[in-house]
Amino acid sequence: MASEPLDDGPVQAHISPAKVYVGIFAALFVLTLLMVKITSHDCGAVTTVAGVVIATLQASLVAAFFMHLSHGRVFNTLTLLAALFLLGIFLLLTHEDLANRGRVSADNGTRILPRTEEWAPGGMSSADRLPRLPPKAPAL
Amino acid sequence: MANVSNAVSARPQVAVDSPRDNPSFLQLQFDSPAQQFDAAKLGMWLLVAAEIVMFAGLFVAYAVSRGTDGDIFQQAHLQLGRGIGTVNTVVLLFSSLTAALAVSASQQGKRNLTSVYLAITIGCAAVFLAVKYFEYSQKVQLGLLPGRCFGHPGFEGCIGDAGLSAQPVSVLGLPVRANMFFALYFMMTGLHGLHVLVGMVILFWVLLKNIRGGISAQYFTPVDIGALYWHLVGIIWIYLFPLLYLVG
Repeated sequence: MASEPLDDGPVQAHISPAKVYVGIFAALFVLTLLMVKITSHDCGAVTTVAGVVIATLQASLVAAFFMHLSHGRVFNTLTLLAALFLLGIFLLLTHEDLANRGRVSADNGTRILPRTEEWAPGGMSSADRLPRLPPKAPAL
Repeated sequence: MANVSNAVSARPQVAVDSPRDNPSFLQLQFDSPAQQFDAAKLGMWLLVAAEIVMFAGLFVAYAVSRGTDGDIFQQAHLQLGRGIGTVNTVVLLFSSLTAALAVSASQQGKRNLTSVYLAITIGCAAVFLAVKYFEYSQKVQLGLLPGRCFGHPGFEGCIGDAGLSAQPVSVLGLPVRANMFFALYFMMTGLHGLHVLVGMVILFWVLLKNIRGGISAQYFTPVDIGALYWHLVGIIWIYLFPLLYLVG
């Protein structure tokens, strides 16, 4: 990364030649076609991951060159990363919540953990509003 | 006490402001153009961060819905045209290029070239919104607009005869819960479309300022800041396009 511009005096902006920008656009264009091509074969989760990875590559190019992060202040990059960090927390905690939330057992109507089928403590979920089946008579 | 008075007297003397050091565009709360530029940039990046966090809510909603109804999303996303989505993506990427070139031209003091690039950017934004309009109207005609009209072919027909008690019915062979996909589609692309519209207004204001001579090689901040906003709009679309149009 180039050294930071001075914070005093006139604005010292890094001026990239136009062909750099045209080159970035060409890369973005090729990546778009690649993304369309790859996702035309449905391979489940792999397709989604490939799409998001290519999108992230494109977004990084835009942020680094079009948005001048590669020649600007590091603090601006940190601001962007902080927002992405918050997005990561949001996604992870939501995933944790959904993966570990109890569901209503069809057998006896109590709330159980989906993995271990043990009694699930606390929490409300929409599953609680489902009609509960009468408890089964124990097998003799 | 002697130390304190020494410290005060040791402060460097501020030079008397000359027009060169204190140009007309420099606001009085800033010491130098560079400081003013950095403050503006940081402010814009904070807005970009806030926008990302706002869209994060929608992206998480998308992830949750897709986690529960993956198969339905897979079926529903086939209703969106890959071709038209690709065209719009390229249009938006191209407008990002012209926005970046506008900044570059303004940094070099090429006023007319800056205006041309800004005008092309605004034109691309208009093309994007026009394509979006045709996409939306086609979806609404098919009865894919979420709400009580979901599942009613011909949007007009559902008004009046479908009360709150009316059960949603399958449309185009899609499962009833496909309305979640279209709710997210309209919400995410709608909020993005609003940003495109706002971006057009901002870039038009910058264009007017440039034509009137308010932009120079020493003061190109409005072009730079406006372009930053425009690139944010592009980045959000870069994620919306694969998630909605390509993989569902």
